[in-house]
Amino acid sequence: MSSVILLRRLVFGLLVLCGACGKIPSDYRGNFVDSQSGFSVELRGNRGIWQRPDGSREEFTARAASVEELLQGKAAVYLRSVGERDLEVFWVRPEIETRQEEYGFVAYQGEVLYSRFDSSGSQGKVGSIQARYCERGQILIDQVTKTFNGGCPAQSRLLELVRVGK
Amino acid sequence: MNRLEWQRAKRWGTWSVLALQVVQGISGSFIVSSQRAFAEEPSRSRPERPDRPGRPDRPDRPGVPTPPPVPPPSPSPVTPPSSQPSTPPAGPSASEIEQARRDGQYDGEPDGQREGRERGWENGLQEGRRDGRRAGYDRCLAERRQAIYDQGYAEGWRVGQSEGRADGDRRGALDGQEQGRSAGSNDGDRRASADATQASEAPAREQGRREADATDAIARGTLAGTQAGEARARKTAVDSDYPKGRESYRAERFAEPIQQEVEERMSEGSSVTISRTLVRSDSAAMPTLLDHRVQGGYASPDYRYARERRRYADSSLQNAYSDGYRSGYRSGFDSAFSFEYRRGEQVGRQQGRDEGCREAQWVDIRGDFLRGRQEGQRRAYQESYDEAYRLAYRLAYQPAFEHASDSTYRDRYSGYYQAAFERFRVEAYSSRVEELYQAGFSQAEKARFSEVYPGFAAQEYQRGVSDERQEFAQRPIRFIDSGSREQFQDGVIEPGESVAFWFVMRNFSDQSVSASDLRFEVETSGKGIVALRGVDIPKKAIPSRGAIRVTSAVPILVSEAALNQKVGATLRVYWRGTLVATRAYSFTVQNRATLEFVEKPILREGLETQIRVRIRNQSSQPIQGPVRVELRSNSRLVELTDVSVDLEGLAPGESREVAFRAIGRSDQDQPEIPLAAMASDGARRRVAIRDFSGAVPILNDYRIHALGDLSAVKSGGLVRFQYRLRNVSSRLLFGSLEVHARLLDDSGQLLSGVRWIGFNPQFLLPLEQGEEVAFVIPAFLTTPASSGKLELEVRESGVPVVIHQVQF
Repeated sequence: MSSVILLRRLVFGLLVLCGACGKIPSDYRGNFVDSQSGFSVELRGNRGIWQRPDGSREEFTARAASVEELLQGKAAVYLRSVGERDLEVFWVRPEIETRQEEYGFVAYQGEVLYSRFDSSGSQGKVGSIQARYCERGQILIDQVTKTFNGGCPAQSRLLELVRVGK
Repeated sequence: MNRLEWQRAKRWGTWSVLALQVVQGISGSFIVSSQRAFAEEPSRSRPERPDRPGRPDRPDRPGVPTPPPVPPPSPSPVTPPSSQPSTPPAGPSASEIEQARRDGQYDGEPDGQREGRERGWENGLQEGRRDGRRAGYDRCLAERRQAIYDQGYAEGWRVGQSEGRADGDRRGALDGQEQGRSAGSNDGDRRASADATQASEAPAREQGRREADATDAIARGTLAGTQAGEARARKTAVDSDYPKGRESYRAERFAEPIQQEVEERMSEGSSVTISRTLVRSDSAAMPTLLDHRVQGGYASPDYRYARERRRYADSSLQNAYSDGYRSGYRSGFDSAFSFEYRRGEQVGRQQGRDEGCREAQWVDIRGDFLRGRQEGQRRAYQESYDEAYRLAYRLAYQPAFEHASDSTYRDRYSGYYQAAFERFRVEAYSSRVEELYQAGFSQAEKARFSEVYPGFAAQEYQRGVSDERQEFAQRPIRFIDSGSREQFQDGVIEPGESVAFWFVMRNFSDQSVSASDLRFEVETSGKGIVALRGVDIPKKAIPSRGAIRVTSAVPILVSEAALNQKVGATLRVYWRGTLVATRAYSFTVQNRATLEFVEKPILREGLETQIRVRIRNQSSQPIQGPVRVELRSNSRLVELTDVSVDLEGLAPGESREVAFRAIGRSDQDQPEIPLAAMASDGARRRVAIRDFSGAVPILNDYRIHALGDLSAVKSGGLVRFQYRLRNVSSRLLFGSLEVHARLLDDSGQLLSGVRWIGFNPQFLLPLEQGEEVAFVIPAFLTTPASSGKLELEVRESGVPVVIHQVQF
């Protein structure tokens, strides 16, 4: 096995670990605002804060996405590695009253904000982040296969979050 | 060695540092002597200014030039030998330091001169002697060798000259004689041949001509010419006048008026180097640099006579003195050394030369004598040989040549003469005979042709007329016009269309031709063409000197197999069983209209796309509407939403585009899907057809596949519909993604008794292009379903991108 392949696997492993460690990549930390809607987010090392256009504000802990965490219905910023360089970052604020569980399948609704970060290495602070936000999104968990999914409907909002300040 | 090192050596009271520096360029013995010199002569006070130190007594050497005078020392700063320290005064002034330095220089210079004289003489003498010895040896040895070589050469020359001359004489004479004889023989032969040829030609040719004139060549030519002329006249008449006679009669007959024309309608059709530049070997220079020997009268002092004579209480004054001393020593050394070196070198070189020359006397040089002797002998031999050879050769050659030449000439002339004579004679004879023959032939041939041709021409012409007349009598039926007629007269012969032949035949006889004596036959060629009857027999007789117009005789029918083929038919007419006329026809079978796919069909799974075809009327007649264009496929991988489109009609040359909606029902990338487009006119008669067979790309931004076995549906209860979704080509990352699941019965209606677990539709996390995800849609079926299908619809940002159906 060549050293290049070994190195590539090592880097990939580290990235996976980074995704699993539940830390917001440093290039993405800071304050971002969608000027059109007034929606803003603040990203820190291990937590995120969003502020809706109506001024309401909520803070979430960043954690690695797992079926167990999602089953508990905790509001959090979930992080999951995708491929060799992408990091899925989705915020979930569940509406517990919508939770259904039948035949090993758990589903609930809630606010969802989804975005993707490039975790391939520091390339400087990013200037903006694209994200999709919805108030009635879905979280779907299959306890049989230990997999989950979820997302927003077509009527959801696409946010262009631009960095403000340093 | 720099000043600091010099001071350090002195301060330490040891000369180890000095020795280390010196050892880099001077011999070890010098180190010892240096140490000794200073050890034996500890610090001294400045002595009285001595006379300039004299050089060693060398009566054979001239005096050393005096170096530039050094300013005398000033009396003031002399420090008496001091073993008693005194209170150090305040720091010395600059002028005092400078004076100390000068004093040192004054004291050092004579000491340096002493060393320079001594070493310069020795080194020069040694080097000169070495060089001189080598040069003397080389020169004397070369002189001796050259002298002995010359002696040998002279002796060899004498021997070689004698031998060469003798051998040259002998060999030259032999060769000259032999080659003279050979060349002379050739010369005599050549002269004999040329002279004989020249002398014989005229009489031989004359004789040949005379003999020819005496022959009957003219008579034979005349006779042959006469025969040839007659034959040409006869052939010309046959080839030219006979056809004219027939043509004349035929024209005459055809010019006669048709007295009566009848018409018969027999049937109806049915329609990029290491640089060498600076890589120089310094191996020759290295020894000189390493052993610190002089090169060109240069050396460094080893300070063997260095003795500082003064001591100062103040260290800075002592240092200045020391510096001056060394400077003076060095200066004195340099001037004395180079002068003495050159002198010693000259003396040594001379001595060496003499020694070398004496050594050279003892070298054995007998080999040079032998070498010179051989070379002299070789050259003299060759030179003498060549000269003697040339002379002897010349003397022997010419007589032998002349003798052989004359002898050969005499011997061979006669033979050559006779041969040449005969050759010329025959040549002239043949030429003259041919000339006479041709003269007689040509004249007689022309004369005879002119004489007999007119008669032959008239005769053949009449024969032609007669034969044609007889031909007309035997075959009075002739075609005078013919053609074919398509069933639908639109300029296009289509599959399914019949074609009938028409023609006009004339009866040149004075009697009517009975219908029963006539028969029309057709023979078809090509695929997909058949004669409907093959043979026709008319009902009407052809009146005498009349004509008959026959329409729609022996019709043929073209089938589908003939489409786009070139086919043919040959019509033959028989009269009383004899073939009397033949006509051939050919045409290409086409549809009235053409159909083509505007672009290669592309489908999307579960979604409608358009397949466009273009229809064009290529006939000369309008195609009556409604013109129905249809698209069909027998494949289950495509679902045609539109099967047919009706057009009002198509004018001649008009083309229109028709679009059909189609849905792909395959999750393969390029399945084989046969398609056929057809068009028919208002009478539902097909006017065009086009097949398409091949891979049809199925392009969707997303692909979804149902996984696992769906038979659980037939049992009812909980069913987990697993699927795999892949983003094949969508670049819209932040679009929403959802999957709708439906269970349909065989008629496409939603099955009842189905409760979806969780949510349906499911909202999914976005997928980047190339990514895929597998998930599950659980459902509970209260009523088992025997058959039907699962339909999975994927929407991106609310827009359907793929609808996948699976049968169960």
